Amino acid sequence: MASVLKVDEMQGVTTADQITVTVGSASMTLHNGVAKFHCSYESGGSTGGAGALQAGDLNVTSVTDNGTGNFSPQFTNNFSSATYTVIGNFEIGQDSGSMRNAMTRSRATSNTKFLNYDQNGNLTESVMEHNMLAGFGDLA
Amino acid sequence: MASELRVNTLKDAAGANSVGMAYVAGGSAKAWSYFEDQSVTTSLNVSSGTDTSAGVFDLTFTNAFSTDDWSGQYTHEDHVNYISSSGRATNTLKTVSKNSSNTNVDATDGNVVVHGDLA
Repeated sequence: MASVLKVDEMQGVTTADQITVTVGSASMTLHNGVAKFHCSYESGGSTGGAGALQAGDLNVTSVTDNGTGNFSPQFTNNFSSATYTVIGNFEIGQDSGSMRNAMTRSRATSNTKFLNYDQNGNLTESVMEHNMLAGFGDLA
Repeated sequence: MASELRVNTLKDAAGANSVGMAYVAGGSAKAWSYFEDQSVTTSLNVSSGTDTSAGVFDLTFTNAFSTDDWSGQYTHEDHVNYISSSGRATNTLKTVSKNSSNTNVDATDGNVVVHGDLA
């Protein structure tokens, strides 16, 4: 029978943040696998200018422009420690060209830093458009 | 008292923001790890990390995936990073990290997230 559960908040009975979901034959704690932030922001694109946070983010209040190819999304709710996992990539408006890369750097509980490099290892933002990040871990 | 609730869809109390349990279960990361200098610092569903060689770090999952077609992403603090197909299995993932000179270097700040179905 199909069913719908309408709630604003879920808490575990024994422990507040321990709600188990069954995935395959394994069980896992629900909140552990859920992204605690995700966002898309402009670096060198034309939609809103460098550092412009795009709509649809989760738990990101703003993006700080630290300089060329160097941005820091600021979290609304901080992580409990700076050892959270963050992944990211960017898009460029061409299908060929030299290798470019993005990386994380200098993370904190309240923000994470994301850098864009060109093929020569220099910071750049001229051809990067959306930077897309997501993070996993425990919030404070 | 522990309890089990079986539902197909979750909504907020106003009946909005609907999400099916298939998306909750399927869209949740099944494994992730933050590792420093070829050593796991924090993780979900990762039993161990193996420093295989310079710039090569293998993760072993606690609960295996149902197939080896999981979707993984890897980001680190140096210049080139990728997941190697040579380490792809239901219970393992291999990361490779290189610097701008195309030389393998140990990741000082590695991040891996994996989505897919567990066995």
